[in-house]
Amino acid sequence: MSVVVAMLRREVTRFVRQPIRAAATVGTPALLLLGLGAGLAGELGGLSDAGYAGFLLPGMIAMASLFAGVFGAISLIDDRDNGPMLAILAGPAPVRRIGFGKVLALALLAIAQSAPLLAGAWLVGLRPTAGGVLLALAGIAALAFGTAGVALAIAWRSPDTGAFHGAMNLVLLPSWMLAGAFYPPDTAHPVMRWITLADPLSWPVATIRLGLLGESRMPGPDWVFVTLTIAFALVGGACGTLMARRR
Amino acid sequence: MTVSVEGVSVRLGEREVLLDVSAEFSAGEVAAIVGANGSGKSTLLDVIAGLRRPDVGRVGVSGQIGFVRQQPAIDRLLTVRENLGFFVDVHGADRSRIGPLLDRSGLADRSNDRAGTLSGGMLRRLDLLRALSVGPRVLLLDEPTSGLDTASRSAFVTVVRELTTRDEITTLWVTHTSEETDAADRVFMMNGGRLTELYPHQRESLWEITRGGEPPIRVPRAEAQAVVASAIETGHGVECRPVLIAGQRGAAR
Repeated sequence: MSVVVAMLRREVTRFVRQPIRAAATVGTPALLLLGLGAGLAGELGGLSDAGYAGFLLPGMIAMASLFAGVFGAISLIDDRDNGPMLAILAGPAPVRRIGFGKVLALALLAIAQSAPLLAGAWLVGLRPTAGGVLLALAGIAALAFGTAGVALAIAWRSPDTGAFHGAMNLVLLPSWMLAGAFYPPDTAHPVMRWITLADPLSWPVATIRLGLLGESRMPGPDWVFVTLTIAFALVGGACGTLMARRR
Repeated sequence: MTVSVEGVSVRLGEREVLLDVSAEFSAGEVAAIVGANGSGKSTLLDVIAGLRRPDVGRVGVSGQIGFVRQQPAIDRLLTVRENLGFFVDVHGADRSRIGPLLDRSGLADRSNDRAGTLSGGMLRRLDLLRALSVGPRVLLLDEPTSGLDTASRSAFVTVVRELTTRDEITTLWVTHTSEETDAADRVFMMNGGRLTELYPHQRESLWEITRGGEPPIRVPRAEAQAVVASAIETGHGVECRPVLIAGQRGAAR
């Protein structure tokens, strides 16, 4: 367990000493929420009781979590090739425990960076119930574990940061764009609806939306997406742990 | 034997990086490994450290490994003490080792400073401390003194030599410098992925090159010829002489 705790302590210390990381992770979604929410309020304001900004909020929370996972995971590559991680991997610590420690650390930091955006719910005029807030927090936690795990799985297998950027542009960003962050999947074009349904990031976004708005706007029963959200967290976290390797 | 390498071969793409490498290294000895760039020296250390799996062959290591490379494996955002504490914790070692190590290294007064504020020489020292903090039985050094000034390099060589003997560590040292090969008990040459031990009379196949104010480096003959050819082409001065043959000095200017 000392491996996991040591990894966690290091990541938290690094995070605290790099305030720009938190500013970038939270600032971009907050600006998008403000810009798009206000800019499209007239056209798309009917998408929630709190206007388009209220509808956008779950997707922006997902963005913060995704960015936190990606920024944290990309640092692994240099750390693994030239930094302390290289020296650790040359030691006897089980590589999967190292991988799990990294997933846990990045997931907790992603929660710490995305959960504060929940406060935006009250600012834009949403009035979620206590149960709804808890469900949204659970969705955020699941999203954080899933995205941190997937981002780390890609990072462990990327030969360099260029390859990681390529994978991120090819997989993670399109996945977020198609997760129903900007549009309601239940009224989308049928092809788009199926694409959204198949996108793992759409499940936690739907869960957070269900918690904050009281509706997931996904075609199908809500319990399915909540269950899939938990599965995403477990599978993503497992990928980030199991893909860890010495080289 | 603390480290044994038996018939190890490694292929990277189309290139054979290590070819049937076999060697044994004992506790308390420093083994220097010299060779041209790209000859497979670093890959051999990676294989021994378990960072790369050999395609063929076996590696046996008894005890903890401390690995120091050209690039210090130090987190510059953490303090000196935090770096050592992190490494010790990950290895499940005893944190009480950290204090005495810091005292001996002369870094005690900087222990609460971030590693990013240390000079290059201090970072190298910290990196060596990091490797020693887990009480290694095997020390793998991959050109850890490159870029250091003469005094810092000499101090590094002295510390490693003393610790290797006193604590019966097995030290494998990839190097180009004469000072480090002179401190070694045995010298091996890596050439085209093959490892050969050089007996004292064979060490003259190494050539010493001095460029400008830089400290001399020792390289195999083929590499020395390439350096001289390049120096003639570019007009830069370089001094080149075979090791252990006094008085024979060829120069290209």
